[in-house]
Amino acid sequence: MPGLLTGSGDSSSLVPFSPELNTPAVYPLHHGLKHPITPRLSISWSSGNSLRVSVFRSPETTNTIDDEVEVGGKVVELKLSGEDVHSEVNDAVRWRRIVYGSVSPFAHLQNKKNAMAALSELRHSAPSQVEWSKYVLEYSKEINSLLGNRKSSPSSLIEDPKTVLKIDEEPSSLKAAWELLEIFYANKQSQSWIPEQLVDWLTDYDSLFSGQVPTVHLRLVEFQAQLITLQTVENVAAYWQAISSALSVGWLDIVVKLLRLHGSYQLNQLGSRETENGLVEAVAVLISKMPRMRVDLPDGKLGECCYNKSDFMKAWEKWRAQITKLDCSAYWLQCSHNQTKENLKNLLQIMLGNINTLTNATCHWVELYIAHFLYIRPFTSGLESMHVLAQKCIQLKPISTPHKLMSLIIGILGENTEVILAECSKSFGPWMIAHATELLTAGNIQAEILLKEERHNLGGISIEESHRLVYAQVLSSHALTWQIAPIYLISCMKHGVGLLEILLYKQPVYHSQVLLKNIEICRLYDLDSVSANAMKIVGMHHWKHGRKGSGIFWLQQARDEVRLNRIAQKLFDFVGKSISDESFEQWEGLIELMGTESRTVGGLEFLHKYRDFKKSLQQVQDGVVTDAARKAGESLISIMKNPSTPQRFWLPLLYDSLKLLTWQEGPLLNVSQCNLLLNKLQESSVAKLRPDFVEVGLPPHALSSVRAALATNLGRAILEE
Amino acid sequence: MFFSTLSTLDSEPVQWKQCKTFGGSMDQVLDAQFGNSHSSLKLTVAYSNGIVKVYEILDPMDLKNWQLQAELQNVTDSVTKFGKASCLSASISWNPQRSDTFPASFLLGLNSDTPQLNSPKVWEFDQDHQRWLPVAELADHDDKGDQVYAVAWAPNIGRPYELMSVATLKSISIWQMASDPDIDGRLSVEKVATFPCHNNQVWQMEWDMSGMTLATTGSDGRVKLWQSNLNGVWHEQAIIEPTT
Repeated sequence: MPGLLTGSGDSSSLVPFSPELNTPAVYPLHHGLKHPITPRLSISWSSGNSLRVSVFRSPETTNTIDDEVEVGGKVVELKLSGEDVHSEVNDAVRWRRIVYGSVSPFAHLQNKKNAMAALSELRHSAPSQVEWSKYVLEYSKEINSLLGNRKSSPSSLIEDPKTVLKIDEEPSSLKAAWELLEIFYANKQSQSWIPEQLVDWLTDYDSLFSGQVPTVHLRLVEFQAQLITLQTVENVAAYWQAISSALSVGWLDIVVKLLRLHGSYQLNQLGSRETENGLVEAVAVLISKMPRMRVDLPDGKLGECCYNKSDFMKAWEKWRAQITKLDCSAYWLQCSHNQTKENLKNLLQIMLGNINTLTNATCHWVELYIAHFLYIRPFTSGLESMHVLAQKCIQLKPISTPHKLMSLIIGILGENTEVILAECSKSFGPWMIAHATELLTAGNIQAEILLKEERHNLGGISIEESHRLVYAQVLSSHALTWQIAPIYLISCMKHGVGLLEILLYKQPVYHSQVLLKNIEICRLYDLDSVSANAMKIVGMHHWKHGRKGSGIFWLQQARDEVRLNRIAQKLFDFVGKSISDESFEQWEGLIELMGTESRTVGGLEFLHKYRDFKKSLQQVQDGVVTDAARKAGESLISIMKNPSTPQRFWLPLLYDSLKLLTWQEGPLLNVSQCNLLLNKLQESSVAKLRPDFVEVGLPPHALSSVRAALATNLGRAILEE
Repeated sequence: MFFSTLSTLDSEPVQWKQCKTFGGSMDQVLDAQFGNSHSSLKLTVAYSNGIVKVYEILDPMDLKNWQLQAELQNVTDSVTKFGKASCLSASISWNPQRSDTFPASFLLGLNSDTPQLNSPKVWEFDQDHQRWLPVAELADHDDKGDQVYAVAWAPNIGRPYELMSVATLKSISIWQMASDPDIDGRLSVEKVATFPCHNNQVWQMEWDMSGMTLATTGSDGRVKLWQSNLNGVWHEQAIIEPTT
């Protein structure tokens, strides 16, 4: 469902929806078959978001001889949604590393949340916001580190003076977006440092805008390429443009480095251009001494840090006074190099916060916005005033189609959670939104209500849950990621378990690896009935395909009495028929398997005893030995006494033992044994009347002949005693 | 028309063997769908004469032995019986719910020359009386006779209502059905979305595993995806068009 959020504007509905505007996107399906194909497509959903589409060639064309080797059709698998993120991080392995890596921070945070909720319930107090924001920040930092390393690749010992700009690995806008959310939502402690954090943010990510609009970064990259061929840089307009642009967005180290390339620094020129050089150096020193309202600066970055506002105010006033003093200095008159003079003065104007100069020096509104923080309004705070300022910058530097990060910034500044959600899901996909909701709701009651309120329109779940379900669906679509979907599903209070059950049912459990994983997940989340069903499916699969042992094993694990009883019945019939058969050996193993467990379901252990009884009966039949017959009689009694012997087997057992009951050389059973068997016979004939009676397939006279034999034996036994 | 089940050997291609044949020489089988119950496997078969039969297996180990459990016509009033109808197609969709605690139920719609049989109806098994009963009808008053091309019952992962889709010659519609019956024993239904078909005959409708996305195919040779936004408004989300 998410991903359908459209841009906001109307505040009356959650997300404005106008059917006229929402024309569905058309996606091509590349199937690689020769035309013509039939319009008849066939579809089938696989796990998660994966849709299989079968495409067929027209039957008329497939018959021609030329086409004999041609395939008649093809199944194309489509993965829906989540694609945006793949384009963001286009390397599947790297993407999966992010997916796997984010599991543990997410799960950890959920555990903390549950623990805090439990604790506050115990104490009847609201959970501590301070503590919670600490966890959220930890979480945010962990996720952030997964998205790639930014910031200062280690600088080489011998720096090339002509390398003004280090081009690290291309940053991802996913990381840029995450950091924006972190700055505004997770990092509660440094709310007052937001402007400086944004300065750093732009330093790292200005290059991302280059694809769509001109940027300061792009300007510097172009100038750097040009730099190698330049002799006297100060005569080139691009040099001064690069410097003023870099200064306007606060890249002070680059500015100073560029200024030191000025021709007046060269030893042979020093004499003749002393004043000029002095002015360049004075500006460079002023730049490097710029007061910054922040705790610290990364290595190699310039500026003077001021921790509190009053210190900063003092330093700022002093610094501005120095700039003004330099601006009015008489030395400018002695500077003969006109371009240097003009452009250095221009730099002073930037530092003094001249809006026109800043507008000229920057390329797009975010840069101009940052320039405002640096040189015009360093104390801007509060989202409302920041938003007003942003609007002003957009007016000065309008953009027809805003970059996705710009839209995100506007959403954040406008305090419009819906827009932020829409931008996140539209531009950065389900991963982003599933993980970012924790940041958005941290300490923000409005966002919390919006995201966590249960909605009838969504089938009774919250927006947060719906986003997690969507992400879990994406994970479910891939064989390498479905195993982590349960962690997200279990955090969904309402529909998570329902989807988890379906996900588990969708897995091909007859692959033993998948089955074991399935069972493990079920054990973790108390889904006993699901794992029992999986084991039943596997048991039947093996049984059906001739792997009887595995079949019985898994049915036993599933405690599937119905099927085990059926198997027991089959085995019983078989044992009854083929005791002398050579193929009996292959069944013996099965009986062994079923009989060894102490608490076997369905009285299967009986078969074990039955087999022994049948064997001794066999000996009796082979040679007429009274000793053997007596033994067989004893085992008949013991098997009939045993409570594990199912009632339905009583009559067949007695019928099989007719020969023992009518033993020529004298009765094998004594009076009490005879009475026991007669009672059992009576019980089993009564059982015939019950509805659950199972017909065993004996001749119709079986009951009466057993009864007669028992009566005879009893009579003889009484006489003997 | 026959029914067969799989028979594989390790590391060999899947082989199928025929277990049971349904249908006579006169009547074609139009659709056959298995139910989800774990305790007894059920199969609903719709024939070209408008008769629908429910078969079940009594012995779970014996897939050859099917027993006819019920025979029904797709009408709300179970007393009325119609003579032989002529059906072109039929669509059956079982309730995807796997739990045995709920009564078995399926959705059935026909494309026939007998208007009363066409409209999609939800059939539920009444355990006490061992019979199938129509408990809901998914059609507006004026559209009850419309030929139905396809029906699909969405998986329910926790919604308080059931979600179903119906494709007729006029439109694709999406319905909500209450999970619990009202005092008359009927399940109240509400149509939540309708999309005209514009000469595009729907051939197949499938819900994804969460019941959030509906995919359809039709005579225009395209796959369409339908979703609901956060306000519960259903719309056509994407079209997938085959291309070389």
